[in-house]
Amino acid sequence: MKDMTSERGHFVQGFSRRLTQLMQDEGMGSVRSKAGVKIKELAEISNCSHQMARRYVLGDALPDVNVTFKIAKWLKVSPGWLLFGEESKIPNNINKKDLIQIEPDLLEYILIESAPLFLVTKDLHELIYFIIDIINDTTHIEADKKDILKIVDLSINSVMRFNEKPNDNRALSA
Amino acid sequence: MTIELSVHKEQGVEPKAQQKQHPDILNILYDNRFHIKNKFSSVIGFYEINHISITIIDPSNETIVFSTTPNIEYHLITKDLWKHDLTISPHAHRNNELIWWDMDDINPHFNQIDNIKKQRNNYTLGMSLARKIDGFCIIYSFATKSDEANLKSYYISNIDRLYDIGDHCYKSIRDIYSSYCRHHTAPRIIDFTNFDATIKSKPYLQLVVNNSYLKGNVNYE
Repeated sequence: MKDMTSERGHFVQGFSRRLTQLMQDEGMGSVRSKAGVKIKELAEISNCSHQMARRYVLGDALPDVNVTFKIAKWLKVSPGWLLFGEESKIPNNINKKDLIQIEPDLLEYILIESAPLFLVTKDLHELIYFIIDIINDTTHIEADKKDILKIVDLSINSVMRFNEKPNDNRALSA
Repeated sequence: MTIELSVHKEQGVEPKAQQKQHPDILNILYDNRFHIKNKFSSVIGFYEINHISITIIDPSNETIVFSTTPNIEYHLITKDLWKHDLTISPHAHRNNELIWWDMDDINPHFNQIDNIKKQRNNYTLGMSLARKIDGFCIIYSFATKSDEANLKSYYISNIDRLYDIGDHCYKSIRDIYSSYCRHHTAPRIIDFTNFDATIKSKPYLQLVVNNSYLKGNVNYE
């Protein structure tokens, strides 16, 4: 039985309300479903069972962070709002120019792989801008995960290649 | 470490007549990414430019590309759209002429290409221009996020400066390009304007267009 008075219960119910409201706003309402939305579409985007998606909508379960991110991206809101936001203030910032949205596990991979670069860089700000550039560009790539990770690896290795050059006066030599 | 990125081509589609990609075109695009970022970033911001790429077609019609926004070229190549993109075709270019990215809207692939190049990167305008030299075609592509009016007129009137920027970037990658250009000697571009000095001194000018300001660097003629 759900403990509606508990903090977690309140939190999960809030998530459920925002999810339901957004799905209905996006034209995925359903009068036939007890949940009031098309569970099948949520299950597909969440890559989970129909039963689990139904539990998200009914406020019986909360998805993990990667699934939350996918749902938020799908519904064009921020994951933070989906988890903690106020229903009366649906943010319209997801399509704002230059807003970077990235899946947490991909961001984690980029940051972990980039970590050794901080030991060799001569220009911290340049490196940080470059990592942001990788993150931004990667979010625009439509490819399978394997290829995206290869692109990240190649991009990060390009810093090492650049630093290995003994004398970088290419612009002057042409 | 060797990492191979493969190009998935649609079956039954013939590549653009004569023009072909370097076999390592995708690896080259990302292998030198930091160098490109490092060198090209010095001109990003001049004339409201947010994106620069250089596509080089050698006399054997082999193509290599370097870009500050490699997701564009990655998609054009992997989705096999590059051969339908007029703006990187040497045949479409003449010296001293800008080709706008939105010019080829009768192309059946236009929407796909426009989405990849402009929309998903939030650019408002893109353009390309070419320098044909020693049998090579060097195509400089630029894009801006500016939403100022009359941008096309602005860039047309500054076409020489766009060449300066492109030449500057080409010079900064010529050695790298040479290492991939297997059968020819990469051309040298003689610099009359000394754009390097312009960048270092960072002169600054605001252009007024219809009572609004367009940022750019000083016209140093």
